[in-house]
Amino acid sequence: MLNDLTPEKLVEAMERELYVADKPLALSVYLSLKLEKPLLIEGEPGCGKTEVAKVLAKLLNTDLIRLQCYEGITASQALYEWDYPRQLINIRLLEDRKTPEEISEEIFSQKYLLKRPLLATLLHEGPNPPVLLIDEIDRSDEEFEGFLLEFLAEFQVTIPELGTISAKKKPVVIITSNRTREVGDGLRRRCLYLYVTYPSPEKERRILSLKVPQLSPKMADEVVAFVQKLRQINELNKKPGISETIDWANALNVLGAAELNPSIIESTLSCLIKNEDDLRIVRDSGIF
Amino acid sequence: MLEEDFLFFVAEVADRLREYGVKCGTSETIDAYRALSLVRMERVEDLKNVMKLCMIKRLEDYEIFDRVFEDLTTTRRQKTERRQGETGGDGDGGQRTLQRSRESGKDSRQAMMAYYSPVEILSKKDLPVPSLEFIRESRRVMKRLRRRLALLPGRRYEKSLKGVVDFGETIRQSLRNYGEVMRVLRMRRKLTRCKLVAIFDVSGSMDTYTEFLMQSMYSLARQSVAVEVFVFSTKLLRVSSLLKYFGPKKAADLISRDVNIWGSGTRIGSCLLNFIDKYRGMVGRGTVLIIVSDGWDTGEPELLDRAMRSLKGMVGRLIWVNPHADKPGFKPRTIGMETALPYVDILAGINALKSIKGFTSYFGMSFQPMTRRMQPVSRRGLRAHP
Repeated sequence: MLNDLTPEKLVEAMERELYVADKPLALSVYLSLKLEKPLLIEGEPGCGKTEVAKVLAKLLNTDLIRLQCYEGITASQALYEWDYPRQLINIRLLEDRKTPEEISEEIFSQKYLLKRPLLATLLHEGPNPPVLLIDEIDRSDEEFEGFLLEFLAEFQVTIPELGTISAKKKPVVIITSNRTREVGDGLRRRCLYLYVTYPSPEKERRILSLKVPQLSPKMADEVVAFVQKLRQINELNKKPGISETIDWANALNVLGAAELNPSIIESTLSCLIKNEDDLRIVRDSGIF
Repeated sequence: MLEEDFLFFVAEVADRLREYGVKCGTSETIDAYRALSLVRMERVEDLKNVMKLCMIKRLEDYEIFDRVFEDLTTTRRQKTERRQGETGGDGDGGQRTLQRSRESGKDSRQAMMAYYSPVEILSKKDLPVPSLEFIRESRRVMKRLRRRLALLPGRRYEKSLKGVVDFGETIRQSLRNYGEVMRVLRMRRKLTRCKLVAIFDVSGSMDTYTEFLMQSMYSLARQSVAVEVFVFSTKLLRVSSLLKYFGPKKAADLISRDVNIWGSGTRIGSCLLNFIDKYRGMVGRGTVLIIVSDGWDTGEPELLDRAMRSLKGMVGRLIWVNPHADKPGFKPRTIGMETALPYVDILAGINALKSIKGFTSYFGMSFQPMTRRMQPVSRRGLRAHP
């Protein structure tokens, strides 16, 4: 699949997996595959950043390995840890049957290694390299980001007891960020960079027709127009993303709504707006 | 375009990007060139997309890239046309670009790009170069400001030598020694570091304070990565990167060239709304927003009211620095000031940013001072064994 890939083919293939990609996005994924560089995707929440990695894993027919970042994440939570309790039990069990050398060889083997996402990526078995998704990197601390730099540059890890483990095939890396913290220059330099924002009405209609096919075209038009209008309100703390639009369309579909009217909007608005202050702002703005 | 042409073009774009403080190194240039050979180019748009992807690494720089690219492709086209003798070669292409960008009322950056043309006329204003003493003094002020304004200890814990015992981590570590507790680990609340965002009013009414504005802008931007600086009068511009990556003289030069809006009217409300719309990701509960303005507003007060209300909810603290507030008997009487005052945490005069003395008089009792942060544990260890 990789050899005769073009950005156009990628758009088609992703659409088959129910992901509507525009030109810049397809181009970025294509180049990151070809140049073997990580792709850093920044953008508003709910605009399909994480989805890119999931779809890509399906396309490449390989596994998706996900590293969800959070505040306070440490290298050992991302890389590996020895399974201490199992080692202890085995020392007890082997005590009278084996020599100390044999025991230490046994308990410091890969069997007793708890593989966290990054190590799992390196040890991945399979015909295709895995897709590594480093999600919401902005939530991790700067120290962790610094540690990642090293990993992304070499794709290898040194475990003192075992030696250096390096990737058999370079994994495809997708990094996402919501910009709650500026990601450092070092990491940016190593990646291709793409900013995704809310979709155009045409693209959003296309997404709805793929994701919620049961919705009538007329209804889809109305849904998209309303969501686009919501995004025009600048005071909103969190504008609705694509995932909210899909949720809402599903909700309307389940309720069997034939048209948008103020009462149905009022009762389902919580699918789009998830904040009390924002709800008040939308109600006061009088757009429905 | 030929292949060799691509190479020159990429290098040229990279060069100009660097001139505007965009960090675009050799590896980016190489990437762009490699990528160009991988993608079939059908339209100029493709070329632009590929180069943008490889050379630009942050959202704020997209705009600069677009201008640079547009400018380079248009001058290229003009050059070819002239060579073919079809336009009669009047030799003022740059002038025309400038004219066009002004007419269409686009961002002043576009006008700035036109500056690259052979014609060197622009409403250039000579801005003073910040003096060294001022920078030093204000660095001290900013340091104190950030420490003073650091928000309270957060919900999270961090490793520390003092503080409560971290039972979880102690036991987790002890597993490495097969259940033997060798060291009792301690933790304490992590301080939320505060981020500064400063928005400066550079409209006509602030003209007397130009020197102060330029100086404090420069020293602010130079503090650390967690500072962003904007200027506004009729529109809003982000100038942090210009201030951060160039020396004081070059920065003053570039800004005066860039900021065509220097000395024009004021629309505080719409500029602040613009800020919220475009840069909301930059601020959060841990941000201190400083607005430097005298509050003379020619826009609608309702807009300002709306903007201030949203901002108040978005940032941790809001400081308004009004140059007139230092004068005895000052009362916030301008429309802008009256509208904004209910949302402002502290109203200060410019002395607050100028010297430690002024700073103490304004901020002295206002906030709970924070204790100095302890050295991180690992550094301590290092110092013991040099």
